[in-house]
Amino acid sequence: MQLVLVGQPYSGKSTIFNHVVGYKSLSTNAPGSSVEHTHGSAELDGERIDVIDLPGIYSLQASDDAGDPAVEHILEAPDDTVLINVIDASVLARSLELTLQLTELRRPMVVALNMSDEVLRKGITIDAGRLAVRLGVPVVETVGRSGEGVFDLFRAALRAGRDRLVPEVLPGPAHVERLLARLTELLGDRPLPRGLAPRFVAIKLLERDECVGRRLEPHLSADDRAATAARLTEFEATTEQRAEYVMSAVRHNLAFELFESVARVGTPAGGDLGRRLDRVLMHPVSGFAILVAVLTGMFLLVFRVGSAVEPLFLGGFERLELWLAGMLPPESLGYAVVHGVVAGFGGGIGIVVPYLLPFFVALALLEDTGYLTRIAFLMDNLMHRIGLHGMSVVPILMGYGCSVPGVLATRILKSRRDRLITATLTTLIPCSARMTIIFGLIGFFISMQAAVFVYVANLVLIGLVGWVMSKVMPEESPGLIMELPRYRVPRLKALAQKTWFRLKEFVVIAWPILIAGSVVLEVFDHYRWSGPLNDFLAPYTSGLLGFPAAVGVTLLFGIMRKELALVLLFAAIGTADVASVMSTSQIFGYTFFVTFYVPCLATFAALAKELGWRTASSITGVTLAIVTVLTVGLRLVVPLLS
Amino acid sequence: MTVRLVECGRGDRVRIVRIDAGRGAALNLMNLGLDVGHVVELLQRSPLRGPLLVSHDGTEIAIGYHLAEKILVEKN
Repeated sequence: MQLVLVGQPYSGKSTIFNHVVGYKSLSTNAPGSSVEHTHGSAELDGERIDVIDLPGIYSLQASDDAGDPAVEHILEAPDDTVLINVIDASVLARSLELTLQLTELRRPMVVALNMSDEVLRKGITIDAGRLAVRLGVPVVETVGRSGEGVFDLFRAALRAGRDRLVPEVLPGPAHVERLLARLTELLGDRPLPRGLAPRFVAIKLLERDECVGRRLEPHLSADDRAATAARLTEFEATTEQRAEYVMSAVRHNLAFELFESVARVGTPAGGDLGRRLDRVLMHPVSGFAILVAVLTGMFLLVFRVGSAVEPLFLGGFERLELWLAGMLPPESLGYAVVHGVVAGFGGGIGIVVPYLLPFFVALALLEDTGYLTRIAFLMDNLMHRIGLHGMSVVPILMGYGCSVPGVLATRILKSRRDRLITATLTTLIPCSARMTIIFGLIGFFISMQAAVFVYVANLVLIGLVGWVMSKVMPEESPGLIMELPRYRVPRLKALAQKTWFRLKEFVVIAWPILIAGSVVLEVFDHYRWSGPLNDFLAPYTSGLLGFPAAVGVTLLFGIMRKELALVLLFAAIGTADVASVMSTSQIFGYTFFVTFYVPCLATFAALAKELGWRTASSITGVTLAIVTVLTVGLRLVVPLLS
Repeated sequence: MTVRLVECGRGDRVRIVRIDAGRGAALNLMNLGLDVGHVVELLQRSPLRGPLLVSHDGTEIAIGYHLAEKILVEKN
């Protein structure tokens, strides 16, 4: 039996999902073509259940022709599916509008009145028993955050599936019911797409729903379509309003009537702290000041923690490498391979623990308190100038820590266009590894101002690339409409789960690549292939870009791990005093090039996972082209300045 | 007095009288309870045609400036 969690955004579906599936199962995040749903399984009273957590939806009514992947999933669900409609009980009236649409599907269903603790605080009492009678399906009160009632909910869902408890349909006003009856009659005994109830199909015809309309195409003749259109026109002549708006209003009234029959609104227990907070945090002046302070604080904290902890790990691995050198003959291929594995493994630890862990914890904190969405609101205007939305700021911010979680975070964006542009920009953000190159080369051998200039130039470059991309791929969405979640005190368990979920992505995708890359590098070194490689790359590296030919190998292996480029450069040119071998313009150009030329392998893998191999390759090609042009430009301009 | 939502100030409580947006945007607004006849409170505006923040029925909703231009409201 498959249990599908359906609900509006912020209703607490995922919290319930995690409570049941949690750490116990190997729940995998399966990104679909445009938006992911999470699949997991668990055991309940000795029975194995499959649970699917769909992204939040406000309605089954498609607001654009492309349709919503979550809605598609519900329409395509197999026959033994039980819908678990999770409702934020504190916004019951609005939530019931989705519930009423789900009842039209005529599938086994249960309702979770979630956040019932919040409801009490708001002074609302809900008669769950009465709601269950009106809807004809079990209604279970839950508090997802503490897990209260969650297992009862799943037991009720299993029972609903076994006994096929299908909800009642609440009829609308007479004129709408008459139209629906005529449309249902028109459908007659035509075979309908699998699993779709005739009344549901009639409603979708009334709403001119493209998503269901496409499914119906093979089932309806041209005459059928003409007859449907005629009936809708006739109907709209009397209502003087588009049928889909009429239906929306009908549902709204039904939901409100249902709400009034089951809920009593008293006086709230506490004041509205959230709104008072937002007066300050969302204010055009104080809001921005606090935003800057929060982000600066977060970065400083992460980098402080990271740079303090990193040497501890690296030291440990250096000792391990020394020990290995004693065990295996240093000139053997075996040593090269083992050393590569250890170095790659150590590199992974050196990123995960010092930088990613604090970063993810900080991000999860921002997310769970509800502040992250506020950041998106505050940044929306600025991001629009480069053709994006406020939410794009999240992956870009993360990119300063590590591009891999940055790219993976583009998932929070709805359209593929936004994910593509944001992911491209995120790979151009100097991550902490690239920071070490910028400060280690330009900062050390030229000046600190020059290093800071790279960051400023980078922001300009990102603005330009974003602007160009948004011109090439124009915006189609109907404009920002976003609900802001309530402020909440984060729970430790939820923070830990979220952090672990994201860390796992790094461990599974990036780490193996770091290790493999290190092994390749060692083997390469073992056979002394650097010379031929440098000769091969020379026309590009020294001819076009103007670097010493010896740096060719560093560029190739900088792909494995960006910060390696610095260490390899010292080895390649035979000295740590770079300035004695390279001119100022060469150092500047080299740093600039190495920092931005292509995403590191792990980032490439993340790009491929989110957007596909071809797109990842195109992004790489585009950044390489842009940076080549800019480096050649620098080569011509910098000597004029100095 | 009927004005566009963008012409209202912080703290104004207004009733929506017409939504001139396209089908998709109108449906999205309706889904969040922003429908003709409903009362919303303008909580926050942002400079330089940034998004607006309104509150309706206990939820806070951000609306892009260009969409808010198409929402006609009546001040009480």
